[in-house]
Parts: sequence; structure tokens; C-alpha cells
Amino acid sequence: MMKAQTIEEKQYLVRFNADTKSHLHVLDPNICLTKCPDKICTIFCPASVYKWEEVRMHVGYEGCHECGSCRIGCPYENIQWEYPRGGYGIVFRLG
Amino acid sequence: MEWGREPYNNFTVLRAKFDQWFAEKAVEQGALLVCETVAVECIVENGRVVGVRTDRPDGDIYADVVVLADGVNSLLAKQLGFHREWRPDEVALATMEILKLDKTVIEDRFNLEPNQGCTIEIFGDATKGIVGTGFLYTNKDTLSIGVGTLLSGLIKHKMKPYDLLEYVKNHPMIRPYIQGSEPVEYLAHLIPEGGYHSIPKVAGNGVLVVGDAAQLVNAIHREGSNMAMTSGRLAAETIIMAKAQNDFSESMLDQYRMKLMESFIGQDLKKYKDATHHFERFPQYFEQYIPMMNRAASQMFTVDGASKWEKQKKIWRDLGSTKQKFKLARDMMKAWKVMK
Repeated sequence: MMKAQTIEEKQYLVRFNADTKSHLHVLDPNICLTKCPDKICTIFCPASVYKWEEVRMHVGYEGCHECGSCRIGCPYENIQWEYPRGGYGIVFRLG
Repeated sequence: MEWGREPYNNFTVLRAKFDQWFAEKAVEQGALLVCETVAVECIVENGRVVGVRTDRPDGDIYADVVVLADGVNSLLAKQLGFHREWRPDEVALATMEILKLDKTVIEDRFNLEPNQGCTIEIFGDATKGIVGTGFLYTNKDTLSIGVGTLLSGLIKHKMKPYDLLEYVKNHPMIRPYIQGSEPVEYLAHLIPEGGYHSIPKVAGNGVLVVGDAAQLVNAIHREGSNMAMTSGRLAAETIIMAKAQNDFSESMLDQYRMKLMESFIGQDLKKYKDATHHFERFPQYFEQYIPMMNRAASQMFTVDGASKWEKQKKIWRDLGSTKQKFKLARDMMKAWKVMK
């Protein structure tokens, strides 16, 4: 039997030291709403940080792996991506 | 077996531990290590990089030469205009899990002597027709299992990277290797796989770019850490030379680019300059030909009373019409060309 199958269970294995403010920003929420039927960031983000909530994009930056995929993969270059402030963000214990 | 003796061919490492150990080596040589600090931009004066601005109060740091080693995202080189934003087909998204497993079980299961390790590269069905590969590495008392595909492939196939990882973990060819293990960490990371054509400008006035930030990864051979370390060494050698002449201009530091291109890094990236893009552009290799080869091998080795000649004929027939066979032959020639 394999454990940690769902992304929620996988994220549970990761240690984060979350800042109080987000390092990820959707620049124009209207673009997600009107131009992007696929909401592709909600699919390829490896930490499921982006969740579409009916009319807006919820950004769960606290669980971000800081990989950069959303910045590169957003078809409308609509995500402003920075590293979290020094001392915050993902903490790799092993890998 | 010579790989099991000094100087050893290569190592599997846990980066969280390795990076600290490696940084300590620099500190032993007199480096000052500043952690928990983000370098937010290069300080540019009169067209010359003279330092970095950090997110600490009064956090400006000045230097004769700044070596940009900020990894695949390479935000600082991008700010300097050394490259545009990477395209989704220039980066691979890899997800990985660290699985805890008893040391003796690992040694038994993978046929290892104590302190020996093994790497298994997983190619084909693991990425469901998307350009990419999977991997399974042994560590002392953990395994590292992961799968990476071009970000553009995930987007095109609308596939969740962690679903692909689960698929690999549960694949009947893989599952027995990791049976009984316990996931202890999950990680996601981009790998720069644009290759030769994506190498940005790597030297400017007072600045050099090394490692992932300069797209120095050989995706075909899974080499990257060695290229990062070697490019760092070449950068250091160039800076020592520049310091001797007190000249940190681009024309002086450009020696680094020349050394880089003459070394195995530049040569190997040149060898495979069109490989990834070829397999990305023509999806039939991963979508059709690999499964076709698997089917052919499976038929050939199935013992069912049919003669090998009959099997060969059937495999030949299954390749399709004469036109399709010509296309296949042409594609194989093209694959040889981009790999040779």
C-alpha cells in the first residue's frame, strides 16, 4: 500500500515557514476570469497553490515550493513571482 | 565495478545535506556565508555590476565581480537583460519523493554492498507520452523517486505533475522496488532543459552566470550538478586572472564563456543541441514509437507456439503501410542525427 497519494497528503510532508504576506500575485484577476478557460496553473502547479473559486483565483502561497512554474507557464504572463523574504518559504529537510 | 572504487563515478546526494556540506568547504577557505537573505537585484553603476542589493536593511554588498548562481529561475540575469523569460519548453518540472526504507532492505533489494548505491532511469511509459523521464535513486536509508517532464508537455496534456508521480510509483515495474517504504518528503523543482540554444549571455562587466542560471544541464545524460560545480570553478579561475590584471570588464571576463564552451559543458550541450526540441516537436517518438518497440519486444519473447519468423512478420506488418514504414525510417534517421 502506498501512502501520501493525494497532493494534500504530499504537502503534509513538507515543512514551510510561511510569511504573513504573499510572494505570488495575480496581476489582473480579470484575465483569469475572462480569458483563461483552462486555468492551467491550477493543473500544473506541483503544490496545488492555485485554486479557482468560482470567480477568483485563490493563491495558497503558504504551500509554494518556489519552483517558478507558474511564472513561466501562465499563458498570459499574469503572475508576478518573487522569492519569499529571507528566512521564509519552503524548508527542504532532505532532498 | 570500477565505479565502486575510488575516485567513484558519481554519487546520489540529498541536496539539503550536500549543499550545507559544500558551502562549509567554501567557508573553510575563508568565504563569508550569508544565509536567509534574498539577493533582489544587481547594483549597476555606469554600465557595470558592482554588487547586489539584498532584502536586509542596509543590505547592499559590493564586489569586483558578482557570480550569479541563483538557479533555474535566474531572475537576476533576466533583470540584467542577459535572457528573456524562459519558455515552458525550456524547463522541465520534476516532482520527487523521499521514501524511507530500512538500510538492509535497500541493500538486499538493489543488490548492493554497504555504501554502494544504484540509480535506475525510467524511460517510456512513466511519462505517458510526454517528453521526459523518471528516476529511482538509492540513498543510505531512503530512496529518491521522481519524474520530470517539460512544463510545456504538462500544459499541453493538462496533466497534474503529482498524479504522474503517483502513476510512476504505482507502475508494476516500479512498485516492487519501493514496496513497504514510507514517504517522508515531497519536492518540486524546475530543471533548465533548453540546452545549447538557451544558454544566455554568461559574462558582462563585473558579472558572471553559472550553473542552472545559465541553463547548464545535459538533460539526455542527467548531468547538471557537475556542470554547475565546474562552471563555478571556471568562473573562479577567470576572476583570479582578472584580479591579477585588475580588469573586470566584459572583454576580460568573457574568457569564462570561452573556457566554458571549450570544456565538456559546452561540447556536450552542443552535441545534443537539437535533441530535446526534436522530441518535443515530434511527439510520435514518445507517443507511438516507444510503445511500438515495447510491443515488438514483448511479441518476440512471448513463447506461444508461433515461430520467430512468424512473429517477425507480424511485427513488420504491425509497423503499418509502406508509407508509414518510410516515415518511421525517416524519423529514426532524424533521431540519430540529433543524438549523434
